[in-house]
Amino acid sequence: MTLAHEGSGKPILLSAVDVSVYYGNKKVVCDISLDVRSGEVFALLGPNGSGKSTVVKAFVRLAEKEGDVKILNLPVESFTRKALARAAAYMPQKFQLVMPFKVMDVVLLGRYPWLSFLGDYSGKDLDLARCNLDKVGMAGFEDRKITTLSGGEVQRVMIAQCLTQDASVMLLDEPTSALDPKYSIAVMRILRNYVKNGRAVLCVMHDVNLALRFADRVALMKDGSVRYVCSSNEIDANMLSDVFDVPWHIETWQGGRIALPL
Amino acid sequence: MDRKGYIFFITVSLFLVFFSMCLSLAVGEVRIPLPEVARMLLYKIGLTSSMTGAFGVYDTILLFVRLPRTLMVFFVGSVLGVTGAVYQGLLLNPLAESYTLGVASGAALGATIAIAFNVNLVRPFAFLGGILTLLGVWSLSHRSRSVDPTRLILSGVVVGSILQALMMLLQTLFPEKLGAFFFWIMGSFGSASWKWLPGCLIASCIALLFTLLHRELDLISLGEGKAETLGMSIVRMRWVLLCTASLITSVVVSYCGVIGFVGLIVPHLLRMLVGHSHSRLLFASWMGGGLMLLWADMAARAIGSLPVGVLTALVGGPIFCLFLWRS
Repeated sequence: MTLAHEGSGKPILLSAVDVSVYYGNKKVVCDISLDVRSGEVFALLGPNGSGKSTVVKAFVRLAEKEGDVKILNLPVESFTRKALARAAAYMPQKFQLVMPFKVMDVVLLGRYPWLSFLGDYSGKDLDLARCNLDKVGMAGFEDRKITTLSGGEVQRVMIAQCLTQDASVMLLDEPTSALDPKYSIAVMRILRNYVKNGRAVLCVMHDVNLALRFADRVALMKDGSVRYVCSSNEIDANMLSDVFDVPWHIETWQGGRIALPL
Repeated sequence: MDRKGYIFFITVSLFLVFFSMCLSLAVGEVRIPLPEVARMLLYKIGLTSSMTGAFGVYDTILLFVRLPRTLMVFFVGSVLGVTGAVYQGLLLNPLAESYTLGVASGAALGATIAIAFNVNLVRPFAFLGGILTLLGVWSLSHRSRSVDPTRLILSGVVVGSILQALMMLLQTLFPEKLGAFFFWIMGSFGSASWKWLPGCLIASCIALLFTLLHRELDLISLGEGKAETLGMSIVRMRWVLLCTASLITSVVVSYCGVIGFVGLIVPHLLRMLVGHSHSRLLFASWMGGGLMLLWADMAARAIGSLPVGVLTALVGGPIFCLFLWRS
């Protein structure tokens, strides 16, 4: 497969060109264009209802859209469901977990796209699932029922499931929304490691400071359109103030930058 | 339950099924001693060559009455057990069972119409009634590309209520046929024979095939979006599972009438033993459903030819209440 190379020279793994997304007849995302390159953690920031989650859904065919959306340089429509799942892992914002399955069973479902019709999990699949549970700090929880876990623990299990899916790109909708600072940082570090071998992450976030620290590039969205796309180092207080409708201050501290809403 | 425990559970269950089947062959108005049952079975499968005692008398009862009935009871129970687990997983509702979508009411209405108007096609009418009901419920709940489980259940409950009202209307208009109507409402294996067995056997085999789709059922319970992005076409899978489960339910209802509670209770009880993952639950429900109905049928015969549906409700209801109280 030949991947497009633009700008930085790294192959583009996710791209959207002039994409509009609809819920019924309502246009909720208008003509956005963005691309995510190999080795990149790309953060989507913006106020509530700005269309961030909808953009992510368009990449995995969960929303009606117009325009070109490509994964690994192929139109998303050209993938079979399983092939798309092997190319892109998706974690929604909310989880519907009504059945009290064991944590291990839930994580192993991440291997579903790689199984043949009557195939069963291999020892390798089990090892991968255990390893990813360990990465997110959930080792020892394999036999616990998922419905007995806290919101943050469930979120970590679902991140482990996405990692177990072993896809080329990960699309995560607010992966740290229920996590405490320790695990928010741990998860962002996992994502940084994930992209090291040429993969990519597109991540909807609300924590501007996590994005400043861990994302390579950021898109700032407002009212269904992308207002700014830049390197996380280039974000300034004016951009944030424009998008979030509150004044921001950015401070430099120990070689990094901290953003504060005022 | 770990893997060893599950293997032990399955082994014990298989033994229990075999033992219950032998007991079911022995119990009835004419009590046949278990050694005679075993001797006859061994003789029939060619493992012994001689017979003694009153074997000739028992032969007819066992071969032409009890054996087809016992097998039919097990097959019907296995279908109801598995479809109950499938419906609960599919509709994400612990109260769902084979009859939630009104399929049983449709089948019973079909049979009632045939009986009321003296049409000699009671079973085909019952089958048709079940299938038409499913199509009606599906088209009511199907909007755009997805099917909302809550909407599906609501449609099923409403359609089921309308069909039951129509059934009551027919019962009022044709009071002389109340006895025949009663058979369909409470369920019975009184008419079991070798003639009806292939249909039940096929339905039970199809129910067993659901075990191959255990991972898909697990995925459905993660939610529509997650299931789709893990590589499963949820709309197609829901349609396949729903249609197949309703189809085999209609088949068994057309043979033995409406038998409630098996599909509701068996998966719930078994979840406590084998866990919630469908990889174990479906096969356990297949055996558990058959086992429960075997014992309900034996009890119904022992008490005096009661409709088996009365027993499943009388015994199943309190067990379910106990389960609710303890959970």
